[in-house]
Formats: sequence, structure tokens, C-alpha cells
Amino acid sequence: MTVNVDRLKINEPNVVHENIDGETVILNLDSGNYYSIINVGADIWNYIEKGASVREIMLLILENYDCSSGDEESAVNSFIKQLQQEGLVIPVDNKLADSPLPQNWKEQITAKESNAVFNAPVLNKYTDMQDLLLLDPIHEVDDSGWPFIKPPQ
Amino acid sequence: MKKSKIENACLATPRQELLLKAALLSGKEALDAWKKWQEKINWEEHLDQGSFRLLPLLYTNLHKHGLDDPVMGKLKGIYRNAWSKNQTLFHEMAKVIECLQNAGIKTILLKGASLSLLYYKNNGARPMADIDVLVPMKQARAACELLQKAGWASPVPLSELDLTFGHAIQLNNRFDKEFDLHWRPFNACPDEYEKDFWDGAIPVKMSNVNSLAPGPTDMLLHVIIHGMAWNPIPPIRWIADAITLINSRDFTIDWQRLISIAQKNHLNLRFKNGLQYLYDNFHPSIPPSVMESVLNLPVSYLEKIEYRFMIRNRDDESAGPYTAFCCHLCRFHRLNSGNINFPIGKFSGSLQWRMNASDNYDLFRKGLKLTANMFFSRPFQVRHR
Repeated sequence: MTVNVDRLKINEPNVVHENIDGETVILNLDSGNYYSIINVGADIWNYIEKGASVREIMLLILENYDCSSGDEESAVNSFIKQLQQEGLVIPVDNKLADSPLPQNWKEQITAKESNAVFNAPVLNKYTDMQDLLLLDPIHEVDDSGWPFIKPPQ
Repeated sequence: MKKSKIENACLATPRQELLLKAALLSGKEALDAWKKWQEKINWEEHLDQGSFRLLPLLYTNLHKHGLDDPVMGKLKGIYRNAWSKNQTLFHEMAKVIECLQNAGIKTILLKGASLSLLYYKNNGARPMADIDVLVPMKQARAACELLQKAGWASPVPLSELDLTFGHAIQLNNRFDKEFDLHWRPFNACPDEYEKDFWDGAIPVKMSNVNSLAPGPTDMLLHVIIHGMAWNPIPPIRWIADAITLINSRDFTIDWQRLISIAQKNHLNLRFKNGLQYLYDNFHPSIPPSVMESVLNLPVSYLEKIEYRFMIRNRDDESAGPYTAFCCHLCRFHRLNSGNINFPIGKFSGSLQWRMNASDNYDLFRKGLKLTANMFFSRPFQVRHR
């Protein structure tokens, strides 16, 4: 699966995001969907935010992760495609791109100290945001905390 | 330095102070406070609402300290929850702000929104339930009408007396969202200070919509005087807000101006007690010379009475008619920029408004009821603002 655009950007202001202790949480304020990504997925999101092209993202992933299966490119492309389908990222019109990447952009992206094993990125999606927000974040969630609901006993 | 014992049932309890220290201080002090707080309370079983609202900030501070504790998962979840709620609120309220601004009405985001966006610089650390927005007094009626057209309704219509003597009105939409429309920065704020408040406002962006926020000095005064008042939910969050503001590296408090505003607006006691409490318990970066000036601020008799009224539970009418009367007199005095030569008719109008009295006769009747409450078991409900 190939992504047919050169560069993507986060669909702000309708999409808001924050990295909380290595996990990127994303909120699509139009659809009310909540998303969570970690590891490779969180890195890809970070690279998109920094303005890296899809090609550059691929190179960074291959550089920073122990990639030996040969499926990495397809997994990354598929994940980026999913981000697009969910309306979380949108293509950048290169002609209109207002801020080209700075010279040292690669240095601004934290490189891994040692190559971690590549696991296919997963976009965890929660569609019932309004109900989730009503949950008691102390008593109705498991030890991982909101929005992970405590399993019925 | 004249230090006095602060009489205030609204300040943090010892347990709440431990939580505040764990959420606000650095290094060993923060981690020790966290440990002691956990020993004293089973927070997952029972926690007061005021303390609950501090948990996202607690998470950010403990995470900064690299705390490895099984409860961090749950605290992180509380932070995620607060972040999501705040982002949803900002997104919805930005549309309302835009609607006001398109009609040529300037806005200042008061309290939580500005604190979160500008001073905490973190959209999850400070949970909030609603948005408080200040508009110029001359445009308050137009703003209210515009919001009503956009589906925001008030349980009572905005009257001329509300505009003359009040400071805000609460509006709700059909989704039960709350929007507090202010035309004065705080209760009985005089026009002169209102102008300074607008002049000192700084830009802030909420969900891509440009608005204004109170400057750091005005924000700190606002936080302290709102904090030093009784609230059904223990208002201890003001302590975290004030410490965050004072310790901010990006903003500077103009202490001399702050003291001068407190003096001009007869807010010396609330300001002095609030700042002394912060200084004694959380060691914020307040210059000692400033503390000395603050502690030497003179306090009038009316301010003392107003303070007693403000820190008591408004539903328990133990304050009595005399205290309530003096408190209203103090506010009226402040509203008139300290001018004591005010027409008695205007004061009577102000009292009528505060006591929800329809006329002078009704005011007299309610005054008698309040007096009777002092001698009997307070069976007569008289509500005042």
C-alpha cells in the first residue's frame, strides 16, 4: 500500500494532540473520536508534525528501528493511510507549503539510542467519546487509567 | 512585618496541603509530600472534589520527577480525561467567542481558560467545567442578546440592575454547557480598574480563535480574591493557580502595581491573607520587601466584615444581617471607587438587588426576616448575592 502524497500535516485546529509520557493521544474534535498511538506510530506522528515527507518518514523509521522482516514499508504506509482516512492528517500542497523544513530538522527529531524492534504501528480508536468522558476516571477504569474501562467482574 | 493568624475556613486542610505540595513543589519536598499524602488517605476510595481537580497537575509533577509507582497509570488516565474535556470545551467555546468577535465585541478569557492556555501552558493540568468571558460593560447587553440568539439562555433575564450592580450572568445551552458572561472582572469592580484590566490584557489563542487574557498581575489578583471566598467545592485550586503564575518564567508580576490595585479597590485583606498563606506554605518567589509592604497594608473595618462574610458558607446564614449589610456596603463603596458621598437611593437600589427585593418595603421585610434568624433557629430563607 503506497501513500500517494509527498507530505502530510496534522489537520489542525480540528485535530488536537499531545504526547503524554511516550503515548500520543489525538482528538478529532469534529467526529468526537479519540485515538491513542505508541512506539512506531507515535514516532510517525511526531515526524509528520515536524514536517517530514512520507519518504523521509520511511527512512527515519528504517534508520531508528531494527527492521528485518521486509514488511515495514507496507506497515508504515498502511498506518499513514489510516491517519488520512480518519481525517487526522491532510496532504500539504507543496506549492503552498509556508515553512520548508529547517536545515537541521533531523536533529530536532529525537533519534533512538539503540534500535528498537519494529512493531507494526496501531491506531487505537475510541468512537464513543461523549460516553467515555462521563466515566469516573478513578473507579470505572482499569490500572492503565482512562479511557481503558475496567472489565466487568 | 505584621503577621496575623489567617482566619479562613476556605484554605486547604493539612491533607489538601500535602497534595498541593506534591503537585507544585520540586524534588524531595514534592516526593515526600506525595508519600505522606498517600499514607494519610485512600484517594481511590474517597476524595473531595477540590482535591480531585488537582490530580492532573499532580500527575504532571510526579511524571516530571520520574516517579515509578503503580498508581501512575490511573493518574495518567485522569490527566488524559482532563485534557480531552478541556480540548472539547475550548473547541466548542471558541465558536462562541468567534460569534461575539464577529459582532465587534472584544473578549477576555477569565480564569481557567487563560490560566490553562497561557500560564500553565498545558491543556490537561487544570481541569475546568465552563468558560468565563469578559466583555466591555457597554456591550454586555448586546453580547447577552447575541448569545441568546445562538441558543444560550439564562434562567433570569438580564436586568438594568444586574448591569449596574452585578458582574456576570450564567448562560446555559440545550446541551447543558455553561458560559459565564462577565461585564466586570469581579464583583463590585469599579469602572476605573475595569479600564486598566482591559489595557493590561495580553493576546491568547483558543482553538485558532484570537482573544485576550488578563495580564499576569491582574490575573494573580483575580485568582487570589476569587480563591479567598467560600465555595461549595473547596476552592483550593486557586493556590495551584497562584503558585503557577508567580513561579512562571515567561511572565513577570508587577508587585508594586498589584499592591496599588489591591489598595485602590479595598481588597487589602483578601489579598494580604491570600499572599501570606502562599508565602508561608509554598515558598513562591515573592521578594521579601514585597511581602513586607503587603503585610503592612491597612485594613478597614468594612473589609474585615466583608471578609468574614465571604469565607462563610452563604447557605448558612450565621453571618447575620449586620455582617451582610456591612458586606454590601463594602462592595458598594468599592463599586463607587471609594467615594463615600453616594446617594442613599442608589445604595438602597444596590441592597434591593443584592437581597432580591422587589422594592423598599420588600427590602425592609427581608431585613426583618434576617434579624429574626439571629434569634430563632433560622427558619426564614433569605438569599442574598
